[in-house]
Amino acid sequence: MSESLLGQLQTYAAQSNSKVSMPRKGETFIEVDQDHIKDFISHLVNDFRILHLATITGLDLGENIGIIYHLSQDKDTIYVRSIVPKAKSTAVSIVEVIPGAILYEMEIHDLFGVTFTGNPWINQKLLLPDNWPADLPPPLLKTSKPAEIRKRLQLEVERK
Amino acid sequence: MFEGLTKWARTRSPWVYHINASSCNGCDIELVASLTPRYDIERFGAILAPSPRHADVLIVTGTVNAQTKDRLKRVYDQVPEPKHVIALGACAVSGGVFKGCYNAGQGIQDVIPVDMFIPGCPPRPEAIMYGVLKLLGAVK
Repeated sequence: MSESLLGQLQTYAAQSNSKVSMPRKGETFIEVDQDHIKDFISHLVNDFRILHLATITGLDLGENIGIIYHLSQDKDTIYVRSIVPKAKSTAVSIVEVIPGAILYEMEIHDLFGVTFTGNPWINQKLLLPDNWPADLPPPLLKTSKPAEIRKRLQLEVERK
Repeated sequence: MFEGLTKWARTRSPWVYHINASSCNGCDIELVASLTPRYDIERFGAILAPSPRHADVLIVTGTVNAQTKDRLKRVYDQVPEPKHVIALGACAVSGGVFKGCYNAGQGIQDVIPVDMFIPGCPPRPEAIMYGVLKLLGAVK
């Protein structure tokens, strides 16, 4: 990673009262809150030409859901972490900045129940089966029970 | 008289239909390897049928899940009697590494009756041929 980018990230972190850390060479973590995530990603894309969004991952943190944007350039990876409270479960979509994010956001909506405002396909299913009951909780939350979901999907069969 | 004739024909030319119930393609590639000239299961008369309605033997790979369960059942119903089912690979036999996942079943025998289990991840082409021949021996 270029020195200027790391410096800029540190300046940004100081301004917005968030943290930036580099636990290993080539891996930079930065925490950005939801109000600024779209501006921050478009800053990385347009001003620093970090064009490759490898994936977006979700993380169940108990009270909150963490959303991690994995951006990479050459051998460096920047992990932009953002936190959404579970009670609200809405996040800002970055589809306008990176169109390829549309599928990653649908995946997180399917598996963690986070609604991304601004994503035109967010109400469509991507990974869940067609007969998925609407009242079931998202499957990858720690509170959802795989055995009960299997029972609802009629996959648990009594063995003789 | 015709019974003996049909049995003779069936055991010498079992038409195989392969269905992938969410397999990772490992077992599918091994099945293709057993059909192609190096192992050549076709010398026992087994050829791939283009449709389940032409098939005698249904070979199922992959763990059955909520999405493929009903489709697998529908394909099984289309195969004319007498029909035989082979569960190929660890996933089809027991659910494999996906067992316990929220949308994965525990093997295809919960959905359709199975005549032959061929374990392995993936099974070698020799194992597939051994299983098919053993099934034909049992049919005889």
